[in-house]
Amino acid sequence: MKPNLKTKIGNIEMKNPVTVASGTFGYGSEFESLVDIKNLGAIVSKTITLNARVGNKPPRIAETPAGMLNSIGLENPGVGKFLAEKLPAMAKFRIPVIVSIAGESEEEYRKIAEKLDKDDRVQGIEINISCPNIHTNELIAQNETLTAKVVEAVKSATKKTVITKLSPNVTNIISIAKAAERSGSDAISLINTITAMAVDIKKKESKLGNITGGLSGPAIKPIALHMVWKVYHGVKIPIIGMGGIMDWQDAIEFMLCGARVVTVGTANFVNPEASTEVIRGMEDYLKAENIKDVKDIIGKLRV
Amino acid sequence: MAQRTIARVIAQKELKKGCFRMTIEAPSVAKAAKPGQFIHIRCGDSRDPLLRRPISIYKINKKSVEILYNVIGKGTAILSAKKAGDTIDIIGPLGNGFKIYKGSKSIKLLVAGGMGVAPLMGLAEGLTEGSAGGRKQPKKIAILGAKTKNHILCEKEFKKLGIDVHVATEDGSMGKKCLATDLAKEIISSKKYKWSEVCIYAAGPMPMIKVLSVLMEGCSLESQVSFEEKMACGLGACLGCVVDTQAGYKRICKDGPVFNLCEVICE
Repeated sequence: MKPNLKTKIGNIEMKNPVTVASGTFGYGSEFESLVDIKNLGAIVSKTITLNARVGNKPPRIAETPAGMLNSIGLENPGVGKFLAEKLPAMAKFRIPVIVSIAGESEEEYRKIAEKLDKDDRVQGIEINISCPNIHTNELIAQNETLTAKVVEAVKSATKKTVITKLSPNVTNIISIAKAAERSGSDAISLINTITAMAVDIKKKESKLGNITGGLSGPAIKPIALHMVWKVYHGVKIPIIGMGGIMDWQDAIEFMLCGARVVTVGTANFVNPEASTEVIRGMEDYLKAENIKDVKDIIGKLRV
Repeated sequence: MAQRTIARVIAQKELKKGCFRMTIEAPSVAKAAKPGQFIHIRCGDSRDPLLRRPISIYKINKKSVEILYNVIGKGTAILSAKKAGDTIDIIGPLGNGFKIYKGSKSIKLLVAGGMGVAPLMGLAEGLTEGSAGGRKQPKKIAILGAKTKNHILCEKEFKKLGIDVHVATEDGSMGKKCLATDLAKEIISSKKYKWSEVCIYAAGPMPMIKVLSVLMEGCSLESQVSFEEKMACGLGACLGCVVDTQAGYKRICKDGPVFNLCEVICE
């Protein structure tokens, strides 16, 4: 008997619990010829800001042991151009579209959410409060009060499903997660990248033009798993887990730790079909374990 | 459209110390490929090294493509150990390729710095194809520049295509002791050509490109240069491989790797 993979986050019905991470999949069309996007549970766009952003000085990429650093700097065309030029291509895959948004103030978050709220092609909004590449004094995600304000601002502007994406660069991730939950977030996604560096000893310079960047890939999986586990025990709202998922085994680890949905990011660069292979592998695992519904493994880590 | 292919290595040869040429059986890639494009290669099965390596297509044959590369780190070291019969996971062809303009400029000048010969070889083959038939053919000149004679590649290959080849080495161990750009200036002036009659195709270090773009200011409409950068996706999705241009940041993997000579801002 085929195990049930269907799941739901807020109002978003997904045919399986696998999505692709913001920033790793563009707006879908770049990967179209390499992977069957229509088979994904959902697609998450590159982060959009109110106005266009040019992004950081190159080099923006550095490989690290079992991982990579990125310092893209939220280069994006701005919400207006996104709606006109990028969203149509995403919508044609006929899977839920989640738009990642960021702003420099809660007012900006609110304005973007307002614009997206009017569009039927958008099913969910992921609030990016955790990108470590913008030059602000403190990340919103490092502050409970700021996090609460931003989530409230977005919730006040839209009825669409709101997901708050947390940063791992914090002392107490449960308190930030609880703040987002209290403010009405429908779900939590974590983790975003870990602030990190790489050095070129010949040039005696950082390998990144922006000096620091965000670490992603297999190297961060153990940290991500722990944080998903912690947050699962701290909030009642569903969790979208990510951080170094390369294959279906990694995905199952995240679900056992409490993720209802898993997200594949950096792996897309290595294997463009990583996300659809995770879906297949998950299904085979459930069959082999005689588990009828994928939701039955959520948070089932034995202690 | 870019495809992912689990291809087979036909042959691999170490041409000079640390410099390898690999022939990959990939008929669909060969059919679709244009000079100047690249393939994004998975090096090994492990999670480390993680990312694919983008390598220029050196030659396009009927059923195979060839790459020419130096071993500079973990990924290329793994590639260099591959033998005939081994599989190789490639995505491609990627990027925009060179444009070959017919009929306007009378001199085609290829300028290759070091490993820059790799993307220019396919172009050179394309320039010399169909050279028959009445119309006056442009003069084809290639300047190969490198640190020492051990770093000069493909001199014979370019000559075989009927191209007028000149070599420059920094230490004078082969050809003229100077930079490729100095030799280019010397040849153009000694033959009394005008820069406005020249179309440059170049690949090499930034300082070399900068000199060429200054030389060609105002008459560079057809001139092109191939760039490289560290890449993650190789598909235009992640925005990791940008270069600054007159029109803002552009992706080397998707908007390039070939750009107009004066389009890129050379620091």
